[in-house]
Formats: sequence, structure tokens, C-alpha cells
Amino acid sequence: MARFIQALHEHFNLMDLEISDNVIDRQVFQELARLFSRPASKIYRLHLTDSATRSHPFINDDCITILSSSLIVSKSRDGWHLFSGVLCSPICLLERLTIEEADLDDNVITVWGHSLLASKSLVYLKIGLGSNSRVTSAGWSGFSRCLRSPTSTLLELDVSCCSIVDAGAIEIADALANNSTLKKIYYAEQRSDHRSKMGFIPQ
Amino acid sequence: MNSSNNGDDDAVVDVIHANGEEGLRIANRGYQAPVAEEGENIIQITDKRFQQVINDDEEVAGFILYVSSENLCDFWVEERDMMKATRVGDVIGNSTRLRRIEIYEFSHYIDEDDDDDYNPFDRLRDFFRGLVRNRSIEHFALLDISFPWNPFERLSPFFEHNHNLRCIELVYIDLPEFFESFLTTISSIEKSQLERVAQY
Repeated sequence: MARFIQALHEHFNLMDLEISDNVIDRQVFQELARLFSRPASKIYRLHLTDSATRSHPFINDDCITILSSSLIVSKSRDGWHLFSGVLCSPICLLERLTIEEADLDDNVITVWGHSLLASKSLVYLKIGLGSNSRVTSAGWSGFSRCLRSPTSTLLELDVSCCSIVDAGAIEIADALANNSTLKKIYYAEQRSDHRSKMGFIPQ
Repeated sequence: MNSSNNGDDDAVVDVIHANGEEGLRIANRGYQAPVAEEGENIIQITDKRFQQVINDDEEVAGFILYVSSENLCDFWVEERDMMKATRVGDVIGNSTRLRRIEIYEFSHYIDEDDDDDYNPFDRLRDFFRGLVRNRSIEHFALLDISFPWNPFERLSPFFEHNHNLRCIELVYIDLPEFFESFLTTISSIEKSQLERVAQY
């Protein structure tokens, strides 16, 4: 996958890249970071799925085994740091970003929130954590820094697949108190009886 | 022919989410796929739209071919006429109007009653032989196909010389076996062309 991303570096009119269901390790993150940090980068859309737990009929068993190992997860953590910094840099033109079944924890999602402060282009962000429940209210508090910023460009935030508990939702809601940019946030309310309620908050 | 969006167009579109909610009007920049009708058994030679392709009719912008073992078009399985597979490829190869082609679900399927020498991938190979001459297709997709031979070697003239190609989608293709050829293919495409690449 890293060599594939590398091969795309010369294609300077590339606007749309979809690499779901691939192993996204540190090396791939580095190549993606290089791709996005080209001065002439025109990439507006990236669909990236770190499908660590997805069992897809078209992924062979070997691939699933590798994806599920903690080795890849720990290696990719630094990658998330690097990647979020590049994707959110002022020179990156990315407007819409969907990250599904992401292997994030409090630390990494806080870094995302910090990185988003610098973004000049991202208007839509969807984060899906899948079965990962390692992001706590502390993580959402860190992430929400970007929502508190008067320079935030986000118009839509979809965290409906993040299993956010009440304390995390409160952190986000607090951050939105003075946010006049975000127009819609999609979330799924997690209740103690394990029922969820989907919805969005109109600004 | 090339109708790519150069990124300066601030046309807006309504974003509709999976949950049915209408989203915000966000500038729709980036790659825009040519519109293609979803065909039934569109590659049957008697099909009206196929005739339109033969006639290079500007109303037909794209093909979506379903060629799976369960949904094979009549001429692929029942007639087993290599000449027809070749002819469909030739028609697409000669078209100057087609902008999009998607080829779905071609599985290696051999019925017990089949002739020993019957192989549906022979038909696909014959189809590709004509297809590679096409220079108008902008959006090219292969989905759910387990190739017994290297598709990139067969299609290399198409990728290298079709300067209207803007998008390549390879979805559920068993890529590792042909990975080096795939990289060579990506490198052979004119560097200013590609606007969208999907590989998953």
C-alpha cells in the first residue's frame, strides 16, 4: 500500500483517493502525509478505513489476522499523529474526511482536535470508532478544543458511530456553546440500557 | 471530452447522508464521475442501448456491465460465442462517446455440463482486446473479479494511451498477485490525468 501511495505522488491532479479496507500502518501514513503535503496537492476527498475488526468476505484470513494484531495498532499510533498534523495543516486542501472504525484512543483523538485548529479547509469530518471504546470523555474534551476555536472551518461533524457516553457528549456540547461555524453534528446517544438514539443538533 | 472540474468551480450540491438527512450545501469540488445508467443485461447485442453505442450515440455515456456467474449476460454463457465477446469489446473500443465503464462480479464459473474448454475468462480476455483501443472512457472500474491472468498487462494500452482517463476504481480485486503490474500501470498514465483512484 505504501508503494501504491508513493506511485501517486506524481499525479498532481489527483483530487479523490479511496483506500478503505487496506492495512494502514506507519509507512502508509508517512506516504499519505507526503502526498498531502505536496505544495500543489489538490486532494479534496479521502476515504480511509482502518478496518481492524471488520470481517469482510473479500479480505482473506491472513489479512484479518495481521489487522487484528496489537503490533500494527501500536505502530499506527504515531502514524495518526503525523497524519492528523498533515491533513489539518493550512496548506492541505482536504474538505471532507471520513475515518471509519478508527483505532483511536484519548491521546490520538486529542491530537486530532489540536491539529484541526490549524485547518483552513476541512468542512466535513466523520469519525467512526467501530467497536473501539477506548475514547473516554477526556478524549472528547481534548478533541473539542477545535470546536471552541473561532477559526474552526468545520461545518459538519459526524460522530454517530463513536458510542459517545454522556460525559463525552457534555464535553462536546460545552465546546459548541460559542461555536458559530458548525451547522450540524451527528451523534448517537448511548444509554445505560444499551439503546442508542441517532440524531443531529441543528445550530 | 475531458469535463473535469478544475477545483475553481464553487458549484454547490446538497449532501444527502445515509440516514436520509439532507446535509449542508457544500462546495462540490474534486472528481465528478460521468453519469451512467445502470444497465440490465446491457451488453446484449440486441439491446437498444448497445445499438446506440454501436452508432456512437452521444446519449449513451456509460456502461455498467454485470458479468457475474449468476448474472451473466446471455451471450456470455448460453451462446458462448467468442465472436460476440470480441464484437462487444470492439464496439466499446471504437466508441468515441463512452465516458464510463464498470465491470462487475466476473467469477470463474464452470458448470459441470460445460465443455472442458469453456472458460468465461476467455470471453473477458476477448472483450478486453477490443476495449483497450478505447480513448474516450474517463471512469474505469473493475469490481469483484478474481482474475486468473494479469489484467494490467492486457489493459496496458488503454491505461497508457487513453488520455481522457480520469478515474480508476479497483474494488475487491485480488491485487497482490499483480501488484507490480498495477504500479507500472499507475506510472504509465499521463501525470496530469488522474483525478480519482480507489483501491480497496
